[in-house]
Amino acid sequence: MSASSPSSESGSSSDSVPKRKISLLVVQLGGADAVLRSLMAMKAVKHLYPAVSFHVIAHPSASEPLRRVEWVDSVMEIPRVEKGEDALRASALWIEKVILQNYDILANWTPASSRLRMAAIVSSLIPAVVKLGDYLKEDLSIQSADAWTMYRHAWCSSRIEQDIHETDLITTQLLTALQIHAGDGDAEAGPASVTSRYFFKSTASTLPGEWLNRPRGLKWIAFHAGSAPERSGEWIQMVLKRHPDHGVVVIGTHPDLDLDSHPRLIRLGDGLGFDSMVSVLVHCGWIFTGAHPLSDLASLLNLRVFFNAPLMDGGFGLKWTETGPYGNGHVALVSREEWTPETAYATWSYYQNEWFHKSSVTLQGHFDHLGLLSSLEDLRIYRSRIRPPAEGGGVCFEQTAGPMDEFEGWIYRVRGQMARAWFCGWLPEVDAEVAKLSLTPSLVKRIRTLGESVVVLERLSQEGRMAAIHLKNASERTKTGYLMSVDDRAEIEDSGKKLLEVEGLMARVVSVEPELDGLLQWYRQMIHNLSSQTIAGMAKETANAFDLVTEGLDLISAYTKKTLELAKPKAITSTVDCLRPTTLDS
Amino acid sequence: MVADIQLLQGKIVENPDDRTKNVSLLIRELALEILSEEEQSLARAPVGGGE
Repeated sequence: MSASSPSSESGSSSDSVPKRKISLLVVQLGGADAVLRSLMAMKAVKHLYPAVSFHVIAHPSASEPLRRVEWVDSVMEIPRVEKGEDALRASALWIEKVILQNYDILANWTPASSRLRMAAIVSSLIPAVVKLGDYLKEDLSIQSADAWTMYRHAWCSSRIEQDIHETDLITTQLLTALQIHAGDGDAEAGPASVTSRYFFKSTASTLPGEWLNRPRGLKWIAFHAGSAPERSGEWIQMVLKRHPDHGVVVIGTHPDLDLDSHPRLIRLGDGLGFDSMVSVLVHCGWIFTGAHPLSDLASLLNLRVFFNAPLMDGGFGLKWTETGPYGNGHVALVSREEWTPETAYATWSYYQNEWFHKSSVTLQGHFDHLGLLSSLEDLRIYRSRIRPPAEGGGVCFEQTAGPMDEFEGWIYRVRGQMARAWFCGWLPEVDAEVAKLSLTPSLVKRIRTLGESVVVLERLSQEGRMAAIHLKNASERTKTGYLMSVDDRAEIEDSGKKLLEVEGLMARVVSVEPELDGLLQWYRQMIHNLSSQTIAGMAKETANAFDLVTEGLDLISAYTKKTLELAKPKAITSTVDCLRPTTLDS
Repeated sequence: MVADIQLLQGKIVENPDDRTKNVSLLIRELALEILSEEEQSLARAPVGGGE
């Protein structure tokens, strides 16, 4: 790593762990939700690379959680300027202070937000040996330094649904970079949970008397009033009435939340600071919320989240899963029609008791028992789990009830697998995955239609690749880059035009088959981020971009082929003879 | 199949201590971003003292 590195002392006893300290700067100028997700990623990295020292630049409005983590070495806030203060001077002084420390790796994890440009500027200004994330080029445009960041822009910043959680995405990005630059992590570290009740160091926080004097021996459910749907007060009443061993602590206020007093109900209002919030939440088993950053904080503290997930354009969608609650056992409920306390209670009570019934009762059976089976037509219920590495790892949300859209789930999964194949070299066991599908005629028909567009896109991608290679070869023949033969000039021009034509045709295919839009966006991101200074170099990178698009399409084809094979009617070896009634003649 | 390692390793800076040529320009850009954010937060702040 860096010759300018601050220290070279050993950080771990294990032989496989890098011996000397690695100084890592995270630039996270997003809100508190993004900061909390970054902390989970940093914890996973710290587990495998104990010698990493973390330094973080955050926005003042979201930096508090970072200051409560013992293993974060320093937290720096971007400067704020008072009225009349010289912003230029404040910025220059701040940068001088930040660069007093040398950094080996700088990871800009700021999500697409209003501070994306600010974070890119900060990333460019601070010296580091390796940079990940967005930075500002010399022409002042934003460029992504690595493939995961391009993927984030192409897939996560758009409406495209894919099954990689943001926490998993940034964790993998950093672990991959560390593996390349610093070697393998601690082989003996084993799997680790990135969530814990003791994530933050305890501080002397001032807690409201109501909470300090709460009835003892109860299981507590935190309830976030700010994101509460209409009639959610009835849900609280149901819980209090039917679960005498439970209490509910209401955090925040909502004008429509009208609650009668109850000895097991505590209202803490809006005034809780971060430390007090943590002190309350660590005593709760569940939290009912539909909002960030509370769902992120609860995930981090290992509470089970009963997440009221949003609709997408009035319909079900899976975009929320990219930033949904992280970890095992969270429950998400999406209501297409009006949210009702009855269905929410049925859902929560089923999962609250799942360790007792151990799935001997189905969720549908539970709804049926409560006379609510028909309500499952208008909602979807999901349960989260951490997938084993053999399935690709990371958090996933499995739909457990409600109307299924088999194709939506199919393409959502395939998209995530594409990224795992591109960036982790990990290939899914397509046979095993496809075997789990419930094949319906509509799914088979939809996959067949998709397959036709995939074939066209594959052909276009091959054509694009050939054009890029021609461009590379022709431009390599010109030694100066600007003096060339008339033939070479014509070939360069033709190849350039061909590339534009291919992109235009890809856009037309995607307009017919929007489910493939991610591949077009991905191609455009890679082209936007070409880093070479010569035409030949850029043409080579363009050919590589087409290679990746083709590999993604190959994976879709593999899934398509296997799914259609499974759906094909199979001849059954004749057992009819033995069933044929015997006649007297025979 | 795995992406070219160059895509995953991030941007490697040969001499990190050799600050970019356009430091002053970048600091000016940063100052503008900070000012713009302050203006936005002022615009979002409630107006008037309340009746």
